[in-house]
Amino acid sequence: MKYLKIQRQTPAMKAFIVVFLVFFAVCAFLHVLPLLWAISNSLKTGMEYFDDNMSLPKTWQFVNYLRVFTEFEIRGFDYFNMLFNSLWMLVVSVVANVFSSAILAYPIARYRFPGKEFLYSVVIFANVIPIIGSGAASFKMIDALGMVNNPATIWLSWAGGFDFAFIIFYGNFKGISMTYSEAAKIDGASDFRVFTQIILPQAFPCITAIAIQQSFGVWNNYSRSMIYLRDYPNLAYGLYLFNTEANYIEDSKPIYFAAAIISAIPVIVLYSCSQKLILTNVTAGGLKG
Amino acid sequence: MNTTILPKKKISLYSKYEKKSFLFCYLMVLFPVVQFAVFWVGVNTSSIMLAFQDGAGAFTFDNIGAVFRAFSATGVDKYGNNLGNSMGHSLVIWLVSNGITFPISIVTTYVLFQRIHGHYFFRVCYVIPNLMGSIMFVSLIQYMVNFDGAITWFVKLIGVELPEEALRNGLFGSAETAFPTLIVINLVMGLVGNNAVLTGAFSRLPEELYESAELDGAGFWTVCFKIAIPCVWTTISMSLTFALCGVLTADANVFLYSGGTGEPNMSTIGFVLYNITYQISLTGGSPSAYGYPSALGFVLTIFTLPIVFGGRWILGKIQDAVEV
Repeated sequence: MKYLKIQRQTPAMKAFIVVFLVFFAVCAFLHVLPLLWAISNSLKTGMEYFDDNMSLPKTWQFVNYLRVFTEFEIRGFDYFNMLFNSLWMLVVSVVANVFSSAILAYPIARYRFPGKEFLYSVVIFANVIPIIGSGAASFKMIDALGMVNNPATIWLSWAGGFDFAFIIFYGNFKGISMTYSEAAKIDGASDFRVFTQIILPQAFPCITAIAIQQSFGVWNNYSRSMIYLRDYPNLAYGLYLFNTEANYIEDSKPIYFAAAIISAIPVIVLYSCSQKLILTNVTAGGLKG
Repeated sequence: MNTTILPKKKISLYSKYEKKSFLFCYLMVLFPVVQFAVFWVGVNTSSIMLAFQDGAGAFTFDNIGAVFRAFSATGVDKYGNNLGNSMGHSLVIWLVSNGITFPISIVTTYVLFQRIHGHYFFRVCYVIPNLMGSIMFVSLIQYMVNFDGAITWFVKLIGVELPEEALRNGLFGSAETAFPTLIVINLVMGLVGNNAVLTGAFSRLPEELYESAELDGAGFWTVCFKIAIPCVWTTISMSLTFALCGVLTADANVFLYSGGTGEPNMSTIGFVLYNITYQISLTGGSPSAYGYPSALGFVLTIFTLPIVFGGRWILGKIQDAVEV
């Protein structure tokens, strides 16, 4: 595909392109500025940071990035503890949520059974009717079920299938041709086998895109650790605690910036590699005509 | 003449083949349905009941009364929140997000989708704040709006006169500048479009549509506003419907920006709700702690429902107009 699908580039259009390029470049700079600023300050000594946080480092303290693994510690948890908590929360949360949404969306999208319309209406209702302020009641419920600070069971509260992922999966499953699944059924395949061996492979790009997109949110989610899993701080919550409580550590600010950058690297790399997959597979709503 | 009425044969809505699949369907939906029943229906039912209960479980309107008192001009709740002020902030943030940044982001998403030079690089740049996560992003912004931070330096450079408090404590340290700073940050970060759902919708439009428009002599903006955007209106409408649902829950990271205090003069409803839940989680939650936040949620839900239904009605009318 050529740049800009409308090829007839008049002088006015060319001017628009220049204006947009400048606008995009300025916005890109503003979006990246905090990261650049953090990189610059992560390479300073604590003293240098407090003296002048605007200039480039005089001597580049790359050692700060190594010190993260030995000195980034808060409330008895070191970097590796928090990294492990972030990883298991990410895997468990994304798998539970994607699995739950997929197994709900599949029969509703492709089968006829009593209650199907009701379930679909409930999903839409739950997504478009705002029920506000149930956080306190939610904490009460989760506490009553013994799930607070309990990694073995807390994932049950994350495995909601009646959410936006359902809407994406519903559209995707509905768009998959019936030909293969009908042929497989004629050959004697069970419904479950059709789902796992015919449908899921075809829906794999969509499932992967949703999983990757959700993983960004989960990786950076501090509120779960803050409220429900305080004894299992993830990196996001750990960064919050370190930033607010670790001022007694020498060079705490440069180490904080270095830790934050190291934590952000996996998601930035993942997004850069999967951008096309996400943009072409996360679609919702119909097109006219 | 004798007429024999034959017994009515019961006609099933479902074929024998379909009935065989019922068990599979119900087994598939069982886990999500039970999960939803406990963590959505159960929680929200409990929330409504708690709104009308005191600490001993007896019926009361006290919690609702406390919410209305906290909405008055001078009233504050037991957590120190003035809800009228918080609601005003929430509405301003929501209006800026959806009235200014969202329409602009539709156009910028379209231009990026049209693969303007450097589109791949721009997209990665725009998503970096989201990828960094709110903890890191907010703390970096906090440092940058400090009295000696880069943003404060820039604001002074362009000739904005800052109050003494802001010069001493930074832009988030003054009641005059804290909320405007929050709005500007949200505005700047939301202007450029990297909307994945919208890009996906644009990419589903057939290539021939653009080619035939070009052959008919349509310019770039004609294609954008008269073909592409109307064609993906369902997706836009859906995004706006979801946005309507978040009219009072958008907190713009106030909890993090304000260090959990909502001060100075930054509190939003989203912040109030999150902060109360956080305070309850710190203390373990006494029986009397749940009534007030549940009542607040109940009142806000009642307040939001007409906005959502009205908004959806208007969006439906626009949809009809687009399809005519």
